[in-house]
Amino acid sequence: MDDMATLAINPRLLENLQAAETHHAAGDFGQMDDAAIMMELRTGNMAGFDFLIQKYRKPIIHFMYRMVRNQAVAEELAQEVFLRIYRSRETYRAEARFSTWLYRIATNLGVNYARDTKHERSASTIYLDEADSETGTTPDVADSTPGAESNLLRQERLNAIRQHVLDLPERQRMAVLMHKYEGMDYKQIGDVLKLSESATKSLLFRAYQTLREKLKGFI
Amino acid sequence: MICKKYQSAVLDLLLDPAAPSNAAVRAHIDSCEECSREFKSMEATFALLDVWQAPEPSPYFDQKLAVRLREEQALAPAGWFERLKSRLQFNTGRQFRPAMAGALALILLVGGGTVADFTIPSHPNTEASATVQDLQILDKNDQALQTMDQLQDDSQPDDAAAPPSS
Repeated sequence: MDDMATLAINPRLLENLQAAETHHAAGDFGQMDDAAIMMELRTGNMAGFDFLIQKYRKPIIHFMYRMVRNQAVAEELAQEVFLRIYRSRETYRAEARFSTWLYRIATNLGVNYARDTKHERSASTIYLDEADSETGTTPDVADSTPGAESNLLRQERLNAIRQHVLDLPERQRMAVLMHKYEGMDYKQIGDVLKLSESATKSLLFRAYQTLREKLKGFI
Repeated sequence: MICKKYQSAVLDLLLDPAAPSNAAVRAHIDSCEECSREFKSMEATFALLDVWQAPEPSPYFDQKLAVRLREEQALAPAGWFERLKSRLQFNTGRQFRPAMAGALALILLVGGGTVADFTIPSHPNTEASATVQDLQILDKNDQALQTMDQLQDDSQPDDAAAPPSS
C-alpha cells in the first residue's frame, strides 16, 4: 500500500525502477552493502537510492528531531541530508561506512542549524492556548482531573531530559544521541566525530556522568 | 565514584550485561559497594533517557523529498568547486593522506634545513686553546732552532775545505 502511494506521488519512480532492473532486481538491494548501492547511484540507478532513503529516513529524522527539537525542522533537515547525499554521489568513495558519511552530514547540518538559531531558541515564548511545535500538545496548566499531576510530572521529566541533553557540550551531545538513541558503536561514533575509539568512550562516559548528576532528582 | 580501572567498561556492561567480555567488570561491581551504587545510578539514568521518544515521520515526508529530488535532478550538475567542497567537508580525508604526508615531509626538510642554517655557522672559526697555542709556538721555535743549527752545520765543512791562508 505504501509502495502504491509512493508511486502515485512519484510516477517517475517507475521509470527508475525499470532502469534499475537492468542492474539489479529490486529485492537485491537488501543483500547489498550500502556502499555498493551508492556506487549504483553513481551509475544513475535511482531505485537503489530510494532503498537507502527508506532504510535511513526514520533514524535520520529522529536524530535530527533530538538535535533541533522541532519535527517540521527535523524533517526539512533530514530531506536536506538526502539531497546532499544525492548531490555528492559523484564524489562518494567507499572508504568509510555509508552510515558514517550519512551521520556526518546530518551532524554538520544539525550543528549549523543549532548555532544559527541559538538566540531564537533561548528567547522562545510559550503560548498556553497553542499546540507545542515539538510535541503537538498544549502546555499543561492547573487541572483538577485525576492523573493531571502525574502528567505534569512526566512532562517535567521529559523537559528536563531534553534540556540537559541539549545543554551538553556539542561533541558530547552528538555522541549521546548517536550512542543512546541511534544504537551506534564507539568506532562508528568516533568516525563521525573524527575521534579515536578510546576518546569516544571517555567522551560518552563524561556525558553520561553529567546527565546522571543533572537528572538525579528524577531517578 | 567508580574505580578508575573499570570506568570505560561500565558503558559496555550497561549496553550488554550478558557479554562474556564484561564478566570481570561485573564481578568487580558485585564485590565493590561504591562501584555497585554508581553503576545502579548510571543504569537508572540510562533507563530514564528512554523516556524521550521521537515522533513518527509525517506522511508528507516522502512526498516533499520526492519533489525536492525532482527539482535537484532538473538542475545543472554541480560545478567542480562545489564537488570539491563537499568532498572536503564530508569525506574521511583518507585519500589525501599520502599527499599530506609528502607535504609534511617537505615542510620538515625545508624548515629543518633553514633552522640548521641559522643555528650552525657555515664556516666555523675553530679557536685553539691556550695550551695548544703554547705548544704550537714551542714547536715553531724548535723548528727555527733546528734550521739555525742546520745552517751552522752547513757552514763548517766549507771552512774546513778552505785552503790555509798561509
